[in-house]
Order: sequence, then structure tokens, then C-alpha cells
Amino acid sequence: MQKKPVIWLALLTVFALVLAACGSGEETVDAGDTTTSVIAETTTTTQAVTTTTEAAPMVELVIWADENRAKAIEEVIPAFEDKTGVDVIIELVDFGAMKDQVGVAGPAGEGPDIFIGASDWVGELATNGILEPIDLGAKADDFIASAKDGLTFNGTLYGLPYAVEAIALYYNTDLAPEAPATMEDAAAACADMVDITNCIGVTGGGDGTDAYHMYPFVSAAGGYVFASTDGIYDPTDVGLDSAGAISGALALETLVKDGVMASVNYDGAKNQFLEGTEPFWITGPWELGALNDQDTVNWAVAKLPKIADGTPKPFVGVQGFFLSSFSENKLVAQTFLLDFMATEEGMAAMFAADGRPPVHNAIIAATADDAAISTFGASAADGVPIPNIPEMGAVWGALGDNMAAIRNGTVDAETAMVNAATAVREAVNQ
Amino acid sequence: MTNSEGVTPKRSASSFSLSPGFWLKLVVVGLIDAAFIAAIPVLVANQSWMLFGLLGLNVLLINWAYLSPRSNAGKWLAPGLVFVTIFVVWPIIYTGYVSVTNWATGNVLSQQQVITNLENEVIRVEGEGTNLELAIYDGPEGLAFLARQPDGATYFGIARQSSEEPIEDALIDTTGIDLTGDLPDVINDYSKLGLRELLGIAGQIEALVLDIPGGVIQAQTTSSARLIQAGQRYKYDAETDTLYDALRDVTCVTERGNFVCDGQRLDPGWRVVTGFDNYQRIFGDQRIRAAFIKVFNWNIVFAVMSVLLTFSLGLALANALQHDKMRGKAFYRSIFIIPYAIPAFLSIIVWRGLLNANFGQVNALIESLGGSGVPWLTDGTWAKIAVLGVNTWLGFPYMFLIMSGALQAIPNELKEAAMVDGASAWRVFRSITLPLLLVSTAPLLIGSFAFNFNNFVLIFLLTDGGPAVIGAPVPVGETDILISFTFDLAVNSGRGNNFALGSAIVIMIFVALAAISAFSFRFTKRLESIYGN
Amino acid sequence: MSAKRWIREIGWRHIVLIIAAFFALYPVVWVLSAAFNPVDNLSAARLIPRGFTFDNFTELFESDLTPFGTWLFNSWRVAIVAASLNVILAALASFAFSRLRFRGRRAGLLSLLLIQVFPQFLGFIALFLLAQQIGDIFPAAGLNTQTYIIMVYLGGAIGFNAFLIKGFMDTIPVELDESAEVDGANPWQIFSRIIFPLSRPVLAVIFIITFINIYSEYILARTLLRSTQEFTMAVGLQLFVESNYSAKWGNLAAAAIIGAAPIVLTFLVAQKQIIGGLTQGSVKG
Repeated sequence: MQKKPVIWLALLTVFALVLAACGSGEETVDAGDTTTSVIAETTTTTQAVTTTTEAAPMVELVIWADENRAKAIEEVIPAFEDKTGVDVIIELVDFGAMKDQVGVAGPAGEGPDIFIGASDWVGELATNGILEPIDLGAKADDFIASAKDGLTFNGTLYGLPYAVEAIALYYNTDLAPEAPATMEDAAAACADMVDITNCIGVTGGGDGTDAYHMYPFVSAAGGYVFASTDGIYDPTDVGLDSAGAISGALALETLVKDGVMASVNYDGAKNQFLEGTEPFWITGPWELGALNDQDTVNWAVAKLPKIADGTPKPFVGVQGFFLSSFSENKLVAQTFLLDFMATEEGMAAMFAADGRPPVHNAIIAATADDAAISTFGASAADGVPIPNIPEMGAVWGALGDNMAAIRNGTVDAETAMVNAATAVREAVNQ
Repeated sequence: MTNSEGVTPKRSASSFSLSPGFWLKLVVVGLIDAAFIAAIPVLVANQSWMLFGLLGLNVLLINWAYLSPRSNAGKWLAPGLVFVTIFVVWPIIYTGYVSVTNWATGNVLSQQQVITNLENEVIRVEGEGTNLELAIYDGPEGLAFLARQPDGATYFGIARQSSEEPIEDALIDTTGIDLTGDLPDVINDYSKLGLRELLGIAGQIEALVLDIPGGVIQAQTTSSARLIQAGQRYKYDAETDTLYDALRDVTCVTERGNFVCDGQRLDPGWRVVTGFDNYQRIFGDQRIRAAFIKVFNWNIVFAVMSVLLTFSLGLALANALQHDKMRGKAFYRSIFIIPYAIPAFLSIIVWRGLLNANFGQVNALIESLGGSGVPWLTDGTWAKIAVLGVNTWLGFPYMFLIMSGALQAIPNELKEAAMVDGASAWRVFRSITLPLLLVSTAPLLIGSFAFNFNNFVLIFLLTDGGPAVIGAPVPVGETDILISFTFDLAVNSGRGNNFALGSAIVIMIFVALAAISAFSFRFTKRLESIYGN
Repeated sequence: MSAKRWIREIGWRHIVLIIAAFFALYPVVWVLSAAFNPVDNLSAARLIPRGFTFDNFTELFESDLTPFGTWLFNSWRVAIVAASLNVILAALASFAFSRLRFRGRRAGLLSLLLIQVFPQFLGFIALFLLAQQIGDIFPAAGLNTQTYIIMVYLGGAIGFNAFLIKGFMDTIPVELDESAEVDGANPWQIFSRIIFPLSRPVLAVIFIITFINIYSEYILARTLLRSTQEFTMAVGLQLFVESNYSAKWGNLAAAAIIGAAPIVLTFLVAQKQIIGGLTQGSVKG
């Protein structure tokens, strides 16, 4: 045999290593010369002071956000960097993985200073010691109470809210010119229509179990997940099989049996509405963008129709900024949050990029003309915060599965609610 | 696999000599040793004991493998073993460790982190929403804070390190200076610092407080401050391993990873080894055990069927292409590779949409052909069929590739001889082709089994374990396999995540799977001895 | 060949293959449809979208937040480097298992295989902590670096690959190395001049299989890679779908097409060699 193969092997290795090496130089952080010089100046002016003799370190703020929200804060950041000389680094982390990643990376010293997340993470992260309390101080009054409540756990505020979201009713104004006041009205309206595939589209059926979208049926007639007093939840008082929850579930069962609400998942409900073959679609403000982008369907938004003679109380999710207790730049991070984000400009930028109903009073006033946004805001005002205690983890699956069973017609309403409540109780008590 | 063990000559360590290769080896091993020794101070300084141990072990392995005259196969195995020990074996051991701890929501930090976290807690003098306005000045005696209450009262004075003793007369008299409107740029010989300057020394400001009667003022941002009681709320005593709570005046004792004050558990807690509690729970908790057995059975069926289906389809297609007069071989092969080339997580999500009972295209197709819709993902049995169908789609290209190769490798003379003897095509396939194929691909089939046994991505994205088993006391779905069931149990436990319980189940899955695989490999040995020459 | 005979011998094969091709392509058609559909919609009710657009493709390369081009490059880099090193290390190990006799050979091979049935992603906590500690002394190989994730992948499939390669090496007649040994060749020379070149076909196939597995791996990559500049394609694409209900199916589908096309093309060009490699790999008299 000739020598060739050895050369081949060597070449392959070298090629692999070269490839591995190339490009890894890009990751050095751009420190920004201007910043450094300013800090140097500071040091000279305070030279006499004992507390500031050592050279000031380069201040860096790491923010974790998902793609949408990263876009929003990107608009605020240049102003902050200019004014402060702090270097802000945004790292994209997908929303679904953020909570767990913060939990692992924070204690290991690799986490962010600030991250953007949702109210239902607060309990678990605070219990784990990952979150730093946030003190809104004089700015507290600029924010609506329900938003602050959503980010409060055991009486302490753990985040700076910027948006609330709750589901409401989208309706096709060509098919149904008037928003229905009750679910029965919606069903009756559909009876006269031709060419519709499904009347009320909402995920939570088929393979799309979804306790969040189904919760209005639980809450309309007085059902609840965990009882609460003054914002402190009692995980041992489960209300999923209370009389109110069951009558809501029975109303759902009737809609299913009458063929008014097909057993669809999220994409199914969305597709039918966008195709113009589904007059009503229940979901949240995150779809406003998709609807504004299309011109097939004429649509409007209304509050959720009444269910079993009760006003549905959808789950209200609060989006907010959290401060990691492992941040080494808490003062800088708090300054960023309170002096730059918790302002009218900051909140306006967040609203412009994210589009969810705002929580800052000035922005609410400024968007009052936007019918869709204010309707979603009103729906959130009717709603209840998603319980943010860690025990909520046991609820999503149990409730979602059993509501889906009602939708799919595999279990009767009462049994389903009893099953859901039992499963939650067992999980909490174990 | 034609070599029987005895034929291969024994190779001794006789190849040792003082050749250039030997010196090269010496230099390389020497460099590795030197690099490791150079890293030791850093490893110790960072307390990276885990890495220290792993690297040390592997450096020893390398030294032995290349320098010991008794090492024979070692030098061939060492490069691969280094990566296997660090990135496969170690994670297994660590998972084993996690499974005997209390690592779950509320107990994720180390004790030191918990203490730091608690000792940072301060007692506020006044309630929420009464923050003070703050400006920071630089002057001859250090940094000074100027804080203004919402009611207009102001404090100006030299800040001290919060760890130092309080200063009695920290406040500086500001009579005659107007502190009502915008705060002045200069007070006496103190000048106000701008935002840039402040953030440059943010770390130092965080450690400062200003003593005022009845408490201290601490910066919250560069423009606001809060009034707190001097001294922290919690104080840890290392000698007695207790924590003193100044607010409630109680001493808290440590108990299984938490401070317990007056019988009340204090969050956050930390991780401690708690023994085999998690394993006991799996076996002892009737509800988990029942679900576990149900899931285990389906898991076996799922993995076996996945292998069988992909194997049969791959083989059938490879067989159909295997004919001298076939045209379009390249065309077909290219089409069959496509499912393999698309990232699986994406095609699984697409399948999920296509299989939707009401609006999915699969049912639309069935209905247009005159059939009636199938509840693919909502009925237990159909969901299982759907899972297997999609997995067949994902996996058959791999089997097709392997089988194409294996089929071509079967000597035609064997088949022709059998044909001449009058055997039917099916007979030839059954008694010659298939056994030979099985011998050559058995290891692949076992590998495929092991992979599918833990095919988390498929189940998680296609059905998420659903449809749910109605009325089950623990959340379990009809198509849940052990790993997705574990995920649910660990993530959606009664109180947030339970890594420890999840790890315990993972270890059990590993043991079971290794046992099954070991058994299968013995079985292939038998196959080999029957059909091999 | 008569028509009847053609049908009996060849025709049925085409029927089977066409049905299978339909099965293989069925979801792909919908991916294509979504990629050109202006509405972000995956399980669209219609195969031919109402509109037609290339926006989904162009958007991929426009955003700084989601630098798809970088991700694609990273994926190729990680997969090529990890797969080639993996194959080389596995080949070295399999030479020992095939040609050398040492104590614990069988037990060693079996344990290596059994260890490998542990799915690496389940040990993510350990892998994360390890990354962090390595990063402390050698930042270029720590958390959020492709070097680290390549090392992790290197550990991932060596045992199994070594086992497959060993099976092939066993079929190479021992007489070859015996005569070389008589000529004074040492084991390294036997490996590099005889066994390794003869094993090339199977090495190529194992390289491709390992490459594809790494190319689409995302659970580990998602835990260990942080900044968008370091993402591999599979991790990056998750950003499009995990954003709380508002998934960007159009971009995702377009990205999948761009990501999968090179693999399909490679296969199209090299399929003779690939199948050939497998041919020699398995049953050899």
C-alpha cells in the first residue's frame, strides 16, 4: 500500500481543526472605546477618594429575551448606552426554554442580569431564589394594579410589567356583523350562515390540550383553580370541581354536542378563521399582527361572550422584566429598568414592538383609540391573574387534558372536572 | 464478520523502540502533562473539582496508554476514551448523584448561595412606594449621598462601606442651600456625579450606605434610594449551622436542605444528598408504579415496532430497487433520502398538523377517497398508530440505505445456486437473504432500538404523550414513553420541577435499556455462530 | 421483454416504489407550500396558497437578530468537524478491537456499547456545569462555544461507530496484515497503510450518518449554546416556533428547505459511493 491514506487522514484532521478554529475569533465583545475613556476620566476625578482608587471596570449588562421582545428593547438600548456608557448585550433565548435556562445558568454564574418573561414563572423562580425583588418606588402608580399583582409573589413584587394579555373574541364582520353577547347568541348566529366549517374556533381540543384557552369556561360561573386571599394562594383549596366550574363545563359540553365548537387545535382554529370559514375565533392579542397583515377577512375584536350566564374571567398573563439575584450589576440593572424602561418612552417602544396591551397608564391613554388593543385591555380587566405559585405546574396538564376530553366527547363534563380537580389535589398533596 | 477469534495473531508490545515515533509520542504526552499541571492552580482557585478529577484521570490514562510498556490496545483506545469518559460516563454518574439528592423547585442552589441570598435581604423601614430621590456627590472625604424624601426632607452626608461600623455624624449641615427643586450640581466642595460616571463605579456604590437617624439609606438605582434598617435581616452562624432572623427574632435550624424557623420552611433551600427517597417513591407510590408499568409496556412495543416497521419498509424498498433492469434507481433513492435530510423536529411538527382529526390533510385525503375521518391524535389506539407511522416515515430512509448496501453485498452465486435447486424467490429470500441480512445488520437494529426507546423528540413534538389517560392519578398519556413520562413527572410535579425524581427514573431507564441491549447482543452472537462461517 | 413479463419482473417494483415515494414526499409538499405562503400557516387548508412570495426566504438573511446564514455555516462546521473526528477516533478504537488481543476486549466493547445507550441529552446538567468549569480555564472551549459542543458530540457516538467499523475490519483478511508484519511493519503502519484505506467505504458511510445526526441535533445545542452568533441551525430555528403561539411557519419552512437541500444534493451526487460503501461494509465472504 502507498502512503496516500496517511496523508488523507492527516489532511482530514487538519481540515477539521482549521474549520473548528476559523470564525471563533468573532465572539470577542466590542468594548467600545468611548466608554472606556469616560470611565478613565471618572477615575481621575475621584482619585482622592478612598473608595474609588481601583480602576473602574467595564460595565456590561446581559439581557435575555426572545426574538420579538429583543427587537423591542433594541430600540431603547442605544439611548441607554449613549447616556451611560454601559455595554448592553442581548442574548436570544427562546421563550419556552427561558425559565429553565435561567434556573440552571443563574446559579452557575452564567445567567443574565435581566430577562424578559411571564408572570407564571414568578413563583417557581422566586422560591428557588433566582429572582431579585424590584422596587418601583415613585413609579409604582404609573402601572395598573392587575399587572403588578401578576408579578407579585407572597406579597413581594418581582418584576417590572410592560404588557398584559388575555384572550378575547375575534369575529368575522362579514359573517357576523354584531359581536354576540353570549355563547348561545354566537351559536344561533351560526345557524343562519352558509359555507362555514366551524362556528366557534378555540384551541384546546383535538391534540391541542390547552388549559389557558379553556379557562373562561371554568371561571365564567365562578370556578377557580386555587383560592386566594390578598394575592396569596392556598394550593390546598382547589376549585376545579366547584359548582361554578362544573356548570361552565356543562355549557362547553352543550356547545360541543350541538356541533358549534369543533375539536380543534391552535392551527386548526387559526386556519379556519383566516380562510373565512369560521365566524368566531377565541385567542389573544398576539395574533393582531397576523390579522393586520392579511386582507381576506374583515374582522373585529369583542370581549368574550357570556358563558352559563356568567362573565368569563380569562387568565391574565403579565409580561415583564425580571432581575436575576445572581446579577453582579444590580445597581446598573435597576437603573436600566427603572430609569429607562419604566418610562413613557421605554414602555411605548415595548408596545410598538410587541403589540400586547400596555400596562403603563400613559400608554394606555395613548392607545385608547385603538379598538382592538383597548378591547383586549378590557378583557384582561375582567380576568384573573394566572396563579404564579409553583403548584400551578400540576394544573396545566390535568386541566388541559380533561377539558380536551370534554371537547373530544370522550368524558362527560362533570366527571372531567372531578378528574381534573382530583389530579391536582393528589399532585399538590404528595 | 468472518474472523473467528483464534485466527487473528496475538500482537505483543514488541513494537517499542527508540524510533522517531517514540520521541514524538513522548513530546506529545509531555505537552499534555505540562498543560494539565499548568491548569492545576486555576482549577484549584476556581474550586473546579469536577473538572480537576476528570482531567486528572484522563491525563493518567494517556500517560499509561502511551508510556507503559504493558499498554497494548490502550494507545488506540485512549483518544476516544477521553471523550467518552468526560462527556458520556461522567454525565451518567452525575445523573446518579442528582437522583439521590433533593434537587427540585426550592432546592436548586448551594447552601453558600442560599446564605448569600438571605443575608442580602434587608429590613425596610417604610413600606412599598416610598423611595427617596438620590444624587451622588464626589468630594474631598469620599462619596456623599443626597437623598430626598417624597415630603421634601433631605439628608446629605458621607457614605460608608456597608460592612464598616456606622458613622455617628455622617450627615453634613445643608442649611442655607436650596434643595427643593432640581438638586444642585455643587454643594460645598462636593460635585454631583453624572450618570456615566456613576455607572462606571456602580459596583462601589452598591456597597455604600448613608447613616441617618433611625436607619441607613442605600442606593437602589443611580437616582433613587431606599431607607432600610441598619444591619441585615438574616445572619448565618457557621459554628452552629443556624440562621438568625432579626425581624422575627428567631433562630432557624437547618433541616434537609432548608432553614426551618419555628417549624416553617424558609425558601430558598439548597441541595443535599437525601439518599434513596426518590427510588423509594417510584416503587412505593402506587400511583407512579401503575403508570410506570403501563408506560414501560408501550415503550417496548413502540421501540420494537419502530425497528420492525422501518426495517421492513427499508428492506422492501431496497429489494424492489434491486434488479438489474430497474430504471430510475437514482431518482427513487434521492426521493427516499429526503425524509432523512429534513431536520426531524420540523417534519414532526408538520406531521402533527397533517394528522389533525378535523382539519388535517390526511383525513381530508381519506375523506376524498370515500373513507371517514380518523381521530389520529385524540384516540389512544389511533395515536399509537400515528406515532408509529410518523416514526416509520422518519426512520425508513436510514434502513433503506443500510439495506441497499447489505443487499448488494450478498453474493449472487448463493441465490442463483438456490434458484437452480428449484427454490422459489420467496424461499430464497427467507432462507438465504434475510438471515444474512440479519447477521450483518443486527447491531444496527439494536442501535435503532436503543435510540427509539428514548425517542423523546418524536413523542414530545407529535403527541406530547397524549391523548391523556382519563382519570389517571398521575398525568400520563396513551403514547407516553418512559422518557416523556419522566419529563412530565419531573417538570409538572406538584411543586414545580423535580430534577431529582426525574434523574432517578432516568437511571432506571438506563439500567433497563442496558440490560435489554446486553441481552440482544448475546443473541446476535448466537446468530453469528449459526449463520457465520 | 414482453409487457407481461415486464410487469411481473419490473412493473410491480415501480408501483411499490411510487407509492413509497408518495409517502416520503407527502409532508414535504406541505413544507414547500408553507415556505411560499405569505400567511404564516403550516397545516394550511389549501395546498396552493392564496398568494406566492419569496419573503420567507429573503427575511431569513435580513434580520440581525436571527442570522440564519451564520447558523447554517455553524451547523456545517460543527457537523463536519465533529463527524470527521468522531470517525477517526472510532476507527482507531475499532482497530484495537479487531486486530489486537487484550484482556477485557469483549467486556470493553460491550461496556462501550451499553454506555452509549444512555442518551447524552439526559445528562445535560453535568454537561452544562462541565462547560462552565472548562470555560473558567479555557474560555475558547467553554459554554457557548462550538468547540465545546463538538467535544460533546465526539463522546456521543464513538462506541457505536467503533462497533460498526470493527465489524467491517473483521472482514478484512488477516493474511494481509500478517504478511505486512513479516515485512517488518508495526501496528501503526498496518493500520494506516492497510486497514484504514481498506475501510474507507464504511468510514464514509458512518461519517455521513454521524453528520446528519449532528446536523439536526438540537436539545444539547440549545442548552450549551447561548448567543445567536454561535447557534446551529436547529437551535436557531426553534426561535421561530417557540414564541408563544405566534410561530413563524413560513420562515421555518423556508429554512428547512435551505438546510435540507445540500444534504439531498450531496446524496444525489454521491449515492453510488455511499451505497457502495455499505455494500462492502456488511456481508463479505
